[in-house]
Amino acid sequence: MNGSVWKALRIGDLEARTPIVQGGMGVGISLSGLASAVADTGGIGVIAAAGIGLLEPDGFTDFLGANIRALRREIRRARELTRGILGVNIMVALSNFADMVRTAIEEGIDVIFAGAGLPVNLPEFLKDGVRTKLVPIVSSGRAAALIAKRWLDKYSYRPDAFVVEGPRAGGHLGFRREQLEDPGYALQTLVPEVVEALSPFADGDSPIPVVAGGGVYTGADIREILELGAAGVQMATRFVATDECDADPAFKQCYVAAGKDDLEIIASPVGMPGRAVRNKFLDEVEAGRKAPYSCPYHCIVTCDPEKAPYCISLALLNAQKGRLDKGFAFAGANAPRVESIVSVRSLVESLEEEYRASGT
Amino acid sequence: MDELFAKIKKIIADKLEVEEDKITLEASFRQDLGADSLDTYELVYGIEEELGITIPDEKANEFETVKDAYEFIKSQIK
Ligand SMILES: Cc1cc2nc3c(=O)[nH]c(=O)nc-3n(C[C@H](O)[C@H](O)[C@H](O)COP(=O)(O)O)c2cc1C
Repeated sequence: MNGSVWKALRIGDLEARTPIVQGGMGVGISLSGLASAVADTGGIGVIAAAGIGLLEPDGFTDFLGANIRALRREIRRARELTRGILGVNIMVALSNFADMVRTAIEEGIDVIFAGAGLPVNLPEFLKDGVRTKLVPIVSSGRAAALIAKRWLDKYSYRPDAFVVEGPRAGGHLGFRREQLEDPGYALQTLVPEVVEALSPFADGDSPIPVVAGGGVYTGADIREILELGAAGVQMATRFVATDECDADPAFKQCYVAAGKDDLEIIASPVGMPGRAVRNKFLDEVEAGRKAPYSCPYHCIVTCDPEKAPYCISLALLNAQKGRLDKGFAFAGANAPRVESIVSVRSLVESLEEEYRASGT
Repeated sequence: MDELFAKIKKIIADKLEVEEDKITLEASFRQDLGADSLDTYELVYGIEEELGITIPDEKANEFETVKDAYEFIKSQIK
């Protein structure tokens, strides 16, 4: 078959004609700018809630208030910029998880993506008449089935979709370090596993859609993942290298500059491994030259500020602002392949073209 | 050993796939019984189902040892 075009991604009554979810990226890497640009091309644009309030002048003094205010404003801004589909990414490990979920729902967000922990109680926040779709992010079929069963048993709510994130993703990873290179956990293995694990929870003939991400880079990659049974892909690293990405140009340039040996797996204070671009800051952490700091607000449930050698929120905020000497950039395993910064539109067009070409 | 503890032990052994004699009151779920966060949830949901009680999600994360779980469950059973 020649030049088949991709199929739209359906999540409940939402239809994304481009089956690409832009993965949420905190702190401040995906805000209204990137999310609205992606939504405008027919994909799902996602604002990251993690540390969003730290970009406010009172982010460290009124942490809770600043986060609510900033999330509200970014959602409204994105809505003004596009009529496309918008989501918010909210990490379960955030101590203000409930605040962020309530705010996103109040603002009528289309989709909430929740990972970095199991969002076992997310349906609790829905009220009658709310159309927000709830999508957990998982790293195994087992976690997917556990959440689907729990939501159906306790809330009579069927998850609207799942994102499965493989070990080549950027940011925090839902795997142990030794699993990262193990083919048994590769995304290509996980997709059929999650689809299968969710099959008992289908709504009649309609299975729960699975979106898969972590290392998806080209249009041919998208084809491979969709052919394994996914309804869409989630991509983040490629969207960092766009004009519309909300990070400082220096952050984007560090992807362009990174060679294949420049990535490392860190033990994040959040208590999970994470993939990042190696730099002097991380070298100093590793050498034990950073000391526990005073913590202004205990923003991540699983972080122990007495033991953590640095504040991850502050380090990521510094990186977002281009101060890479005082922080570091999270990145997917494919970051070294990034060669230039392009517009979101041209990126999506080239992916679609590659997808078409790979099908012949 | 009381009946409730015997029941709980059986559920733990089943969900965590460990030998019953490793499950003492002092045993830590994470360190001694090798439970990860997913196991913890599966265990708590299993207990809810079999014993007909509800355990709040935030409580589930606070159980360090078998004793913590046992005492909470005991307080919920009338
Ligand atoms: C800079 C950066 C920040 C990220 N921040 C988050 C986050 O706040 N929450 C989250 O669930 N995932 C986060 N991720 C993971 C992405 O959403 C996405 O699932 C993953 O990176 C996809 O793999 P790819 O980068 O190879 O496309 C982040 C990834 C990157 C690169």
